[in-house]
Amino acid sequence: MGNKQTIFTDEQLDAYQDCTFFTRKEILRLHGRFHELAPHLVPMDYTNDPDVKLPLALIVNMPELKENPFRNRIVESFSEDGLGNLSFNDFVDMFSVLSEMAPRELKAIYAFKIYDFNVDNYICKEDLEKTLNKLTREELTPEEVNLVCEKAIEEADLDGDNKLSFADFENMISRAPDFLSTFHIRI
Amino acid sequence: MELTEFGSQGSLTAHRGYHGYQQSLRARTTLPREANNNSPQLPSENGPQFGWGSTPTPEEAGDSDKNQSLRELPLHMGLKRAVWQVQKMQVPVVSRWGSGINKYTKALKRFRKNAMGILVKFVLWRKVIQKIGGHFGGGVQSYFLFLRFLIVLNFLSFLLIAAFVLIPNIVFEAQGSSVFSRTGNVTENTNTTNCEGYDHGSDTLTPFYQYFLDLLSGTGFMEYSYLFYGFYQNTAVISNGFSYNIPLAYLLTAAFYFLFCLVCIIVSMGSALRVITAAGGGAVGGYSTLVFTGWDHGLQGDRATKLKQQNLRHQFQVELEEERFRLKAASQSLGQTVGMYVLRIFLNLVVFALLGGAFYSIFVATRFSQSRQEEGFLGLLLEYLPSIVITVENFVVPFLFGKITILENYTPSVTVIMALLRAVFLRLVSLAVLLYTLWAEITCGGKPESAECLPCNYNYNRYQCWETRVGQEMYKLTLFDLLTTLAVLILVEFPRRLAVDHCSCALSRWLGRQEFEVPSNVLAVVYGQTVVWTGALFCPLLPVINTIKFIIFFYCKKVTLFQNCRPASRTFRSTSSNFFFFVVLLLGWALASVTLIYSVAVIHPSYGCGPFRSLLTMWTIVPATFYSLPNTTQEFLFYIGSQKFSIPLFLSSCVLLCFTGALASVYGRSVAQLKIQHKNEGRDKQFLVKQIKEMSEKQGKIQDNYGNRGNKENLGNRENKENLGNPEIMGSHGSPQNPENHGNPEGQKHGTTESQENHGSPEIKENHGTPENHWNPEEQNHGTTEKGENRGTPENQENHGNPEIKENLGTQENHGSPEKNLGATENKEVHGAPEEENHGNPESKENHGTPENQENHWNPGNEKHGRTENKEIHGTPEDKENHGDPENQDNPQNHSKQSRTKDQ
Repeated sequence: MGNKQTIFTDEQLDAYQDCTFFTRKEILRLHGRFHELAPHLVPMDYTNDPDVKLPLALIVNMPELKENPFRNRIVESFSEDGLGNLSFNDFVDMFSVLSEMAPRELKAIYAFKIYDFNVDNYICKEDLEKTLNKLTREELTPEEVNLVCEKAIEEADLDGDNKLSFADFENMISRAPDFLSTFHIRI
Repeated sequence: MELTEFGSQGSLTAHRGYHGYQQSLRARTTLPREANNNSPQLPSENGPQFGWGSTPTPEEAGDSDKNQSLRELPLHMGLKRAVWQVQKMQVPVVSRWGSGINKYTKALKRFRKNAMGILVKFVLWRKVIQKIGGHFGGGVQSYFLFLRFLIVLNFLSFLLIAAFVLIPNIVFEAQGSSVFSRTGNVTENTNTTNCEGYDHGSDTLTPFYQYFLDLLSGTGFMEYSYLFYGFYQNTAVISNGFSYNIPLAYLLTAAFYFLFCLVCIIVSMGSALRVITAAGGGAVGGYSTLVFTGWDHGLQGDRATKLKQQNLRHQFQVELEEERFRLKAASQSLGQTVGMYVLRIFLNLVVFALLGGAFYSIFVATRFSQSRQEEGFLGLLLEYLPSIVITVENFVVPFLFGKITILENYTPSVTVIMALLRAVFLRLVSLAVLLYTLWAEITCGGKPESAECLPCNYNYNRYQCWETRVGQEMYKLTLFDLLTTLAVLILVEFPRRLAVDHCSCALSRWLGRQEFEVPSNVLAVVYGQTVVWTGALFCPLLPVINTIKFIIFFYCKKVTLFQNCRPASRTFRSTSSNFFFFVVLLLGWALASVTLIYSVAVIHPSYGCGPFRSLLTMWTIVPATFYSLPNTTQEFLFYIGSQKFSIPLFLSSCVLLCFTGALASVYGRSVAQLKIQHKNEGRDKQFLVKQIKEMSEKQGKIQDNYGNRGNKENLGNRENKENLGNPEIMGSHGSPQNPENHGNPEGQKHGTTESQENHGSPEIKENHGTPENHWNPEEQNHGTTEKGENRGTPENQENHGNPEIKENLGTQENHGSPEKNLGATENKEVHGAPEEENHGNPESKENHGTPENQENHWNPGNEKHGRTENKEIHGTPEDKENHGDPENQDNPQNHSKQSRTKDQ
């Protein structure tokens, strides 16, 4: 117990526990991971909520994210300033949403953010092209990319505006059986 | 009470809300301090974004719900923690009793959570399976999950059999024969005594290697043991009130074992199916799901991600190829089509020939191995001949099938399915052929009156205890399957990997690393399980052997997966494939249960061995026991079996079925309707946005001059309760570019939007008009009554002369003056009725959830929207008319002009 209290107060842990899908232990482990990323920046003592933010470059070096082609977008989507600087709160938030327990709706909201590269609240063709190139390591020919983008929009676009709104996206996700199991990072 | 009101509105925005990036960092970080004071009155500019209402008041929701909803909110952690703190503050409001309960439930919840956490640790191979999922994706993971399911199933089956058959047998054996009494004196034929001999391997000294051979083939010391049917006694223990009938227990346990497996399969199948139906039957096209859900974020490691990327690229190409293929097929000439079908028919014939050949070879091999008796190693080879033939065929024939299906020119996805279905067919039917051959040998081809079978009803000369023989066959199949898997692992897979990794010759590069093909691996496992089910009656310990075998499988496959494999280029979707696995498993179960029922009900059991010796069929024990039951029980069971009971049962289940069917179809229809509605709404929105764009482009930037006046006034206007309760309005209050106009800028805008809609299409009026009404209770009336409706109706002029409107005008003139609120309330009175209606209109609330609204929530430029609309008013012909009209004061622009002049 003594060790725990040096990092977080009981109340803080309770708050984290109720606000995320993690247990106390996991929160502490997450803090450990966060601390590991930049031992000189992140204090061990979090009882007074220090305002420490780690830059994107540090976060994406985690083994869980290192090879993920969407790592920058993921971190940006969860950072409060949208630039990719993560506070510990954001960090916990990120893995909470990506945990096994998070519901489909919540995951869908953040997945939409991640795939919305230009942050215009729509997934347009440009976003899709970027997504595809990340998915396939840019090994598809431009024509193939184009075709796939068109097909994908055609399938999921319900209102015919040639881009995917969140409603379209959510609708599509709700019918994709594997989404829950794939939008999931084990930490 | 403001908080609650706030809450009910805000929760909609919070849940639906996709908050985007409009929140300023500062705004968020300031919140916690605010929250600490537990002050319901937040600075208005933060209001809408915070989704306060996401915290339902204690009356509305229990503690657990609150936390649950908090977790699921798409808010940043800082906000959530702030909200959490507020929630915590609220707790003391509850009475002491309530807080006690709260504490109790909280503790209980925590305990449950901890318990679950501990239980999770006991889940078999959780970590391993997680790791596999992480490296190879969901498809491969589903194979291991399936394997784990079978291991658990087999182990539970073993417990069942051990509890009811094995342990009683051991106990009674140990007790000695004093308490034994033979059941079934039903020896129907006295001249069968020469059938009762059972010579099960002698105890003479055998060479050492013989033990090994016996172990492999289940003969010798293995044959007469608990492993096989022949060893079990046909005894019943009856001593002061306690009776245990081993034959009956044996039979019922087997029956329950089958039922238990069936229930397990159906339950697992149901959960797999539920996921599929929840996903809408997987009807979505491949591209969008592939793009957005194709990436497995759980993947770690450079190699795995590279492979996954290759894999996805391959899948995209396959999809495109399929598309091209379809186009090509559509444009094929008649001659080509005919040629293709001829080719397919021909290849199908080849497939059937192959299958026929395979089955015949199994038949011959089985007969040969059954008819010859050899000693030593040759004997072992003979014993294993059917197993070897089956295994070799299962390696070679599916490979050929794969090649053939490629020639058949199906689309790639069909190719996979065809190859797989043929492999399933081969596996299960080859087992069936083996069983048929055994049956023909045992019962002399189904003719008990033939010379060989006449004395004993089965071929006694060759099969003194035929059940044990069948059990041995199944034992050998199981064992051989395990041995080949191990051999392939050691002799093929490792060398292949070494060759690929350390040798750069063309052949090894062409071979590449082995793929882990989920479907064929699952097939192998299903085949193994089918063998076990088939043999379970004759070899009661087969489930435990199979448990061990599958555990070895599990680790072998894990090792080969991590060491030797790359993921398959064509992945199986884990969800739909799960269902497919269970379907195949069910097929295997059906095959095994047919065997079971046939051998229980038709074939004469051996005279010399087993619990059913001296009975006509195995089933005979059940009626025999039945008649020994007390009379009342008998009558009751008779009643259950009689028509009096079964016909009403049948009818009622029919009714229930019809009801469920009707319900399902109604749901299906309503789902389809909702989908159409959703589509239409999207189109409506699309249409509106287009119109607004067109209009705004036409009009240019006339209204930009109308700057930010009056904003201050509005900000000072906080006492206005409605405004506080309405996040939208508050949001715009905070925004600097709010076009002034009197008191309530949005009201006008939305009013005008509506007038446009009415021009376009009459139905939309409802859709679009209502949400605005909701947002803006006061001003919306201007829009609806004065513009929207009047324009559409010929009584336009009359309305203009309407005293109500005049009153309105009077109030509106006040808008520029300090008594703005007064004006607003008066307005309300005037138009009281329609406004109330709109407020209470359920549609308006629903509309909050529709995409249009969402868009507005996200759109930080709400004000912009409003501005463009303002411009439009000027351009509409009606407006021009109004300009010339002395009563045109209802036009917002005029108002603004007026108020401006007044201000000046």
